[in-house]
Amino acid sequence: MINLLKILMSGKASLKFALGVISGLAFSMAVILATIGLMDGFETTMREGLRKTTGDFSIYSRDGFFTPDQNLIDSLSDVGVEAYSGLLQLEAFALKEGVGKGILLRGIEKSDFLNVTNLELPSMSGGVVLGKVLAESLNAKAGDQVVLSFAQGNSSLAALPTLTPFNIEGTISHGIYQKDERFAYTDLNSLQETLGLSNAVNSMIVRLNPNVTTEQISQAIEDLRSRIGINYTIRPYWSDFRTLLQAVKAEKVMIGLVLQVIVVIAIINAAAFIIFLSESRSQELFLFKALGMSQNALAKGMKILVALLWAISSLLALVFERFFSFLIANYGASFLPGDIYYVSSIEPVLRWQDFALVSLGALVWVAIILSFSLRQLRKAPVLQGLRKEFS
Amino acid sequence: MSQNYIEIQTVAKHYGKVKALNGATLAFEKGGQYALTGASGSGKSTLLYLIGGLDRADEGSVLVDGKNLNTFNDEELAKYRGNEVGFVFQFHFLLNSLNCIDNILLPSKISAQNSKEVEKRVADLANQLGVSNLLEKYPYQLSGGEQQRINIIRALSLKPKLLLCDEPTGNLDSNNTEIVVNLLMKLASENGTTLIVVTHDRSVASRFSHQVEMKDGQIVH
Repeated sequence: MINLLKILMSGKASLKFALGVISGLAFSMAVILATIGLMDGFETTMREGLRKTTGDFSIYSRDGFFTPDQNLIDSLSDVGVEAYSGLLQLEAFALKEGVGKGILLRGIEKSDFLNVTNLELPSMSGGVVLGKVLAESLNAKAGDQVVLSFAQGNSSLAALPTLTPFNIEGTISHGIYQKDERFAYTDLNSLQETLGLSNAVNSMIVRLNPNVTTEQISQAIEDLRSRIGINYTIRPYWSDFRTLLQAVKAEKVMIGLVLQVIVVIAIINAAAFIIFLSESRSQELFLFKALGMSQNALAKGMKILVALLWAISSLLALVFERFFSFLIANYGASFLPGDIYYVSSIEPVLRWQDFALVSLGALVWVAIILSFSLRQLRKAPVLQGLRKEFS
Repeated sequence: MSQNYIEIQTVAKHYGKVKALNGATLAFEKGGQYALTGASGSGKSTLLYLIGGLDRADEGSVLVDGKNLNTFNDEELAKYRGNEVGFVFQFHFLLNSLNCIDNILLPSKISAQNSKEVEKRVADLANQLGVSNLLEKYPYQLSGGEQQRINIIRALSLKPKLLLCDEPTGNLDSNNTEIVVNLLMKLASENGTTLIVVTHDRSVASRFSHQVEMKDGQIVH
């Protein structure tokens, strides 16, 4: 068999052609993989970003402000919640040197918030931490001062002073442009004290185990709803971007199908190579048959050769895909305009299922073409072939 | 009582409208040495290739050791060619991409036979034919006579029961013709191989104890 492969691939023309076919097939597979990886990366980055702001899900009281009671805490524990954090969230305006921005100020207890979100915030010590994009738009940096103007729609806030200055302690990136543009954090106790709200919060974010699936989160939410009743509303982390995430999934499937066209073009090259081999090596193939090689053995040799081409192409496609992903993550596309994209940068994520799907799809195409070529070879009589090729 | 190794029974073979064989009937004894003669287009090569399993008869039957080759499927026919038949072709059919020893060992590699034993046999044959020093060379580096000797070694490398030669001296001068015919007859005789040689050369045919003449796809005598 090795001898057959050696003969089939002997000569510079065969090797060059094979290299061209491998490169073309690998490149086309890599384009599909990179595209799928980009979309998966978008989804993953967005989900991670969302979980960095809301944990696995958020709880709101229908009464507005509330103090978490023992019943709520026990219910959270019953449904498998491993960490939770109370939040005081307020709409506000941030003002600095004549520039004003609408923000969502979140009063948090830093260690609880970290346990839930894994978002490491700088020390706040009575000041505020601004979202990275918000800080840029206010031209603010750590050490500067920003004035926050709170909305007064709630009776309990009626006595608030309108403007409160805060020191900027640092900036934070959530991975989602819109969050970076709008969120600011301060210490929960300080904010409660400023607003005179004692221990009250107006939302809670919670985390189940770190490897939880979306189905498990949905199930936990259902369980919790049945325990804490209608006084609370619960929203999973993806609720803000549910439609977008569904669209990305649908788009991934459609683009994957459309990009099969590129594979078809590469497969035409592979077909040309198989035909080239059959034609340029027909002398050898007919002689092998005359000397006792069965059609099955010959077909096996051709199949092994094509399988090798496919396997090398698939591996090379992985290398190309990593290269494309590196370019995407580090150049150009990493600076995504926030008015178009939700995430500020994307790192493509390649799942082995996607790789297997694309790679096996290419194998199916190659196998179909090879079967046609082998059928032609089977039809040709040995004697006529020998006479033609050696005359 | 003589034993018929090969029986050709009213065999016909058509190539389009051309009748290459037209009801030929003939028998070959085991270990016998035969010359098939006749004018160009008489059907002698066609008959040879039908016996060798390189083609199939349209009508009649070709029996080898009592087995009808027409009933063999492609796999069985390939196995028959590999295990029982040695071919010496007029145009050698040596691959220029392989050196001589690799060309010679092709049948053993295809049939997956014991390489050590075959290599020893090939070395002996090469020694007898005086081409031991040519085994590492490529076919295009050899003369016609040398190529034919390499071709003969390849054909005999697996000790075939049947050695079929199609105009083995067609491209050789008289000196090389004499050498090649002597070798074929000697080696076939030593191994008990049935030898059938197609030739249009009367002087070559006269060397054989059995001569079969063909005309218009039929056996004349």
